[in-house]
Amino acid sequence: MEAATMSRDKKARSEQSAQAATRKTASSLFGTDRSSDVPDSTVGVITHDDPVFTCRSVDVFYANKQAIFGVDLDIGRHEVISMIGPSGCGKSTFLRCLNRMNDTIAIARVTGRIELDGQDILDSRIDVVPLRARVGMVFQKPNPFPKSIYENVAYGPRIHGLARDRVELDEIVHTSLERAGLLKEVKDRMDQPGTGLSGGQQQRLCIARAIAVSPEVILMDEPCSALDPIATARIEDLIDELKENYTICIVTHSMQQAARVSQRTAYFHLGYLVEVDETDKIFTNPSHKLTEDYITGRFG
Amino acid sequence: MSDQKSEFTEGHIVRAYDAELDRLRTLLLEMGGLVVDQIGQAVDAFTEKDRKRTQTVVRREEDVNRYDIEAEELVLNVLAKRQPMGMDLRAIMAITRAVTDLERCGDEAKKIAKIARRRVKDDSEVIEAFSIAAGSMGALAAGLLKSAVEALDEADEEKAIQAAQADARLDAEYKTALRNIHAALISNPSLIEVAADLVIVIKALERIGDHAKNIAKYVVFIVQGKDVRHVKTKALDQEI
Amino acid sequence: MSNTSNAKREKGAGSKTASRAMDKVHASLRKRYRAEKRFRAYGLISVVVGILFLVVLMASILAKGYPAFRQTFITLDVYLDPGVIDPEGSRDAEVLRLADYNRLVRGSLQIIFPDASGRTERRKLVALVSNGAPFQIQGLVMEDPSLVGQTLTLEVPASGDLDMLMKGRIDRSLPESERRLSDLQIGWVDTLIEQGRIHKRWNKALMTRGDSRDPEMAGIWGAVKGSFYMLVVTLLLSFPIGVAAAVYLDEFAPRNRWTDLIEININNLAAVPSIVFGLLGLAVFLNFFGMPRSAPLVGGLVLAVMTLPTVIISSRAALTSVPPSIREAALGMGASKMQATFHHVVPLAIPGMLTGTIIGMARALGESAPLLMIGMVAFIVDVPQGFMDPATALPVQIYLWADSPERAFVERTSAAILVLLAFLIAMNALAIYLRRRFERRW
Repeated sequence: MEAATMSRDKKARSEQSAQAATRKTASSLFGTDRSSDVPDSTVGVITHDDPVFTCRSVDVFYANKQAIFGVDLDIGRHEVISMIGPSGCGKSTFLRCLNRMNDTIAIARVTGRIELDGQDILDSRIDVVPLRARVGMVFQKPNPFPKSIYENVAYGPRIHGLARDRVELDEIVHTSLERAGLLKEVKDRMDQPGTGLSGGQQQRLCIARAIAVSPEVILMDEPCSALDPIATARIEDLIDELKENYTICIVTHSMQQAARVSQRTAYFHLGYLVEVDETDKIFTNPSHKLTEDYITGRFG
Repeated sequence: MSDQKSEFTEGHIVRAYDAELDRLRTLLLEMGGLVVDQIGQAVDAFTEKDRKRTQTVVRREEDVNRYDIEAEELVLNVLAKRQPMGMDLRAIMAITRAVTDLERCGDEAKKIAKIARRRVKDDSEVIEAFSIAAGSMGALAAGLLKSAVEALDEADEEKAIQAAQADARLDAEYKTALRNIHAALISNPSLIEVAADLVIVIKALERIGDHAKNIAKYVVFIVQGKDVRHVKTKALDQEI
Repeated sequence: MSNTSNAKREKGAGSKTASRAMDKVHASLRKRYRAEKRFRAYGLISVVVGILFLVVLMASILAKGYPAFRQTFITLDVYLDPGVIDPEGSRDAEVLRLADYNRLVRGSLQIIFPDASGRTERRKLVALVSNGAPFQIQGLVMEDPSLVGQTLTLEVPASGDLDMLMKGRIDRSLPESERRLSDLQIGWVDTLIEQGRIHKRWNKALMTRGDSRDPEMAGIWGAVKGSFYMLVVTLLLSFPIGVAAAVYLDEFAPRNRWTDLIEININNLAAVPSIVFGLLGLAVFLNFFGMPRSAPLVGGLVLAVMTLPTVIISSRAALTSVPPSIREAALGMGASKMQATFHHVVPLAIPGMLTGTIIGMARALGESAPLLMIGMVAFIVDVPQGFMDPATALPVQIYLWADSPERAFVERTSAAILVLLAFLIAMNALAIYLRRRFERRW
C-alpha cells in the first residue's frame, strides 16, 4: 500500500520534472531537443520528507559578484547527498554555507534561509561555534593538525568540553577512530604525528576528528580528490557506513563517486542548482539538458 | 543514414568516445539491414522454392553472428573505458539489447531458410496457398523490424510506438494462418508433416515481430528512461 | 592506389620538414649552450669576486685583531714598602687605597735600571709599564694587607708602546724623533728581554674590563654588557609587541584602507635609516620623558622601535606560511577564531617568528648610529651593572677605539670587531638552526 503511494508520488514528481524541463521531443537522431539554459526553477525534487537542512532562496555574493543564485534544497536525515558540477559552479560555496565557513571569507555574503532543524543558521545571532560542532567538515586536502593522532581526534571534544575526564576522552578518541575505520591501523602509534600517516589515512583521521564531536551532518568537500583509488574506495566504504548515523553532504568532481555513494544528487551550474533527484535517476535519466551534458561528458 | 551525425555520437569532450559510439550505431544499422534482408530472402526462398537463396541465408547467418560478437565487444569496451552515464548509458543498453534481438531474428530467418530448403521439392497445393500467407507475413515482419531499427537509430518515439502497435497486425495474420492450417489439416490429415513445417515458419515470423516490438520499446527507454518492455503495447501511449 | 601514393608523398614531405626542423634545432641548440656557458661564467665570476672581498676583509681584520688577544707583561720585583704605603701602620683600608703605588713601581724599575737618573729619564722608564700596574698592586694590597713589607714578584702589564714594540708594530729603524719609544727606552727593553722579564700572555683585560685611555688596560666587557642589557630590553619589547601586532594584522584585523595604510607604513618603517630612530629616541625618550643619557634602557627602547618592523614583517611572513587548511580545519571543528589562532596557527609560526626576531636582534646588536644620538658614545670606564647605568655598546666601542690615536687601539678595534662578528655569526647560526629544526614544509 505504502509502496503504491510512493510510486504514485514518484510519478507525480517525475511529471513535474518533465514539465519543468522543456518537453522532450524526438527530433534529431538519439537526440532530444532540450533547452540548454539554466531553468527558472530547479528541476527534480528539492524536498525531503525528513529534512535536516531546509535551504530556501540562498544567494551568495563575493563582494559584488553573485556566486550562487536562489538555491532551494532540502537535505534529508541520514542521507548521502552529493553535489556535482563543473568547476566554479558554486557547489563548494554552497556546501560552505551549511556550516557558515563562508564567514571566514571577509567579502562573502550569504542571504536567504538555511534552516537546520527549523532554526535559521544564517541569523547573525547564531553562534557559529556550536553550529560547526553540529555540522562537521572534511576538506579537499587531508589537513590533520601537526600534532599526534590522539590530539587530532581529541581536539574537538576538548574545546567543546565533551569529556569529563581523561578516560572519557580516551573512549571518544577510540570510538571515533574505530568508526572512521582507522583504529586498527593506528592503535599502536597514537602519539605519533598525524601528518606522518598516508594520504588516505590522514583523510580518515580528519573524518575521525570530525565525528569525535558527534555532529549531525558531515560536509565533505571533495574528500578524495587528493587520494589514490584504493584510499578513495576506503573512504567511500566509510561514507556508506557513516550514513547510518550521520547526514553526509559530499561535493565531488567524480561523477562515478557521486553515483556510488549518494542517494540524492544535486547538479550545480554557474551558481544555479539545475537539478536534484535520486542519484539513480540523475545518472541514468536526468531531466535537464545541462545535467545530461555534464554527466555524459559533453560539457563545454 | 549512418553518415548523419546524431546527438548520441557527438559532443563528447573525448572525441574518441564519439567515434566508438558512432561505430556502435553503424554496427546496429548494418546488422539491422542485414537481418531485414535475411528475413526477406528466407521468406522469398520459401515461397519461391529457391534453393540458392536458402544457401545464401544460411551462409550469411555467420555474418549476423559476427556483428553480434563485435557489438558485444565494443559495448564491453565502452563500458569499461568510458563509464557511460545518462543518455549514453541508456542508448548503449538499448543497442545491446537490440543487437541480441536482431541476432535472434537472424536465427529465425535461418530456421525459415532451412525449412525452405527441405520443402524445395514439395509441390502440393496447400503449400502454395499458405506460401502466400507466409509471404505477406514475411513482408510485414521485415517491415516491422526495419522501422523498429530506424526508430531506434533516430530515437523516434512515435515511429517506435507505431511499429510496436503494427505488431498486432502480424499477430492477427498469424492467427488467421494458423486457423487455415487447422482447417486444411481437418480436411486432409496427410498434410501433417508439411503443416508442421509451415507452423514453424509462421511462428518464426511471429517471433520476429515480437523482437521488433521489443526493439521499438527500447526507443521509449532511450528517450524517456522508462523500461516499458513489460507494458502492454496498447498501454504504451498512456505510459509516455 | 593513388591514395596510397599520396599518403606516401605526404609522409615523405612530413619527414623532410621534420629533419629540416631538427637541423634548425641543432643550430639553435649550440647557440643556447654557448649562452648558458657564458651566463654560468658570469655568475661564477661574481661569486668569486664576492668571496674574494669577504676573504680580504676577514683576513685583514683577523691579521690586525688577533695579536690583541695577547698582551706583553713585565716581571717586576716589587717591594711593598710600608713607609710608602702606610707610614703610620694603621692598615686602614682608606689609607691603603690612597697610597702612592706608583712610587713602588718606579722603585722596582730603578732597582733594575739604577743608572736612570733625572726626571725625564725616570718618567721615560716608568712609561714602559702600564698605568694600570699601580692599580694591580693596590688591588693585591687591599685584598691582603699583610703583604705590606714583603717583596712580590709580579707580572705587570707593559705599556701600550712596549707592547707594540714587542709585536713589531714600532719600527726600530725609524729616526728616533718619529718613534713613540726613544733609543734609551728601546735599550732598556732589550735589557729586560735579556733578563727574561718580558713575556706575552693571554690578554685578560680585553675581555674583563671596561674602556680605558690606556690601550693595555682597555677591555670590551663594559661594551658587551651594555649591548647585552640593551638587547634584553629590545627583545622583551619588540618580540611580544611585534608578534602581537603581526597576529592581529594577519588573523584578526579586517581588510580595509586603514590596515592597508598600517601595512604600508610598517614596510616603510623597516627601510627608515637607523639614525632617524636615534633622533626619535633623543627627542622622545631623553628630551620628552627625561630618561637618563647613555642608559641601556633607552638604547634598548630605540633599538626595539627600530627592530619592530623587522619582527612584524617576519612574523607575518611566518603566519602567512601556515597553510590556510590548518585554520580551516580548526574552524571547521568549531574552534573560535582565537582558539584556531593560538592553538594551531601561532605555534606553527613560532619558529619563523623566532628566526625573524633573532635576525632583527642581530641587526640591533650591530647598530651604532641611533646609539650615537642618545649619548651612548660617551667614554665609560665602569662596567654597567644595570639597565640605568651609563653604558656603551660593542659597535660604539669599536667606533670609539677606531678614533683613538694610540697604535695599540688599532689592533683592539679589530679584536672588538672579531668579538662582535662572533656574536653575530652565533645569532645567525641559531636562527638558521631554528629554521632548519622546526620549520616544516607544506
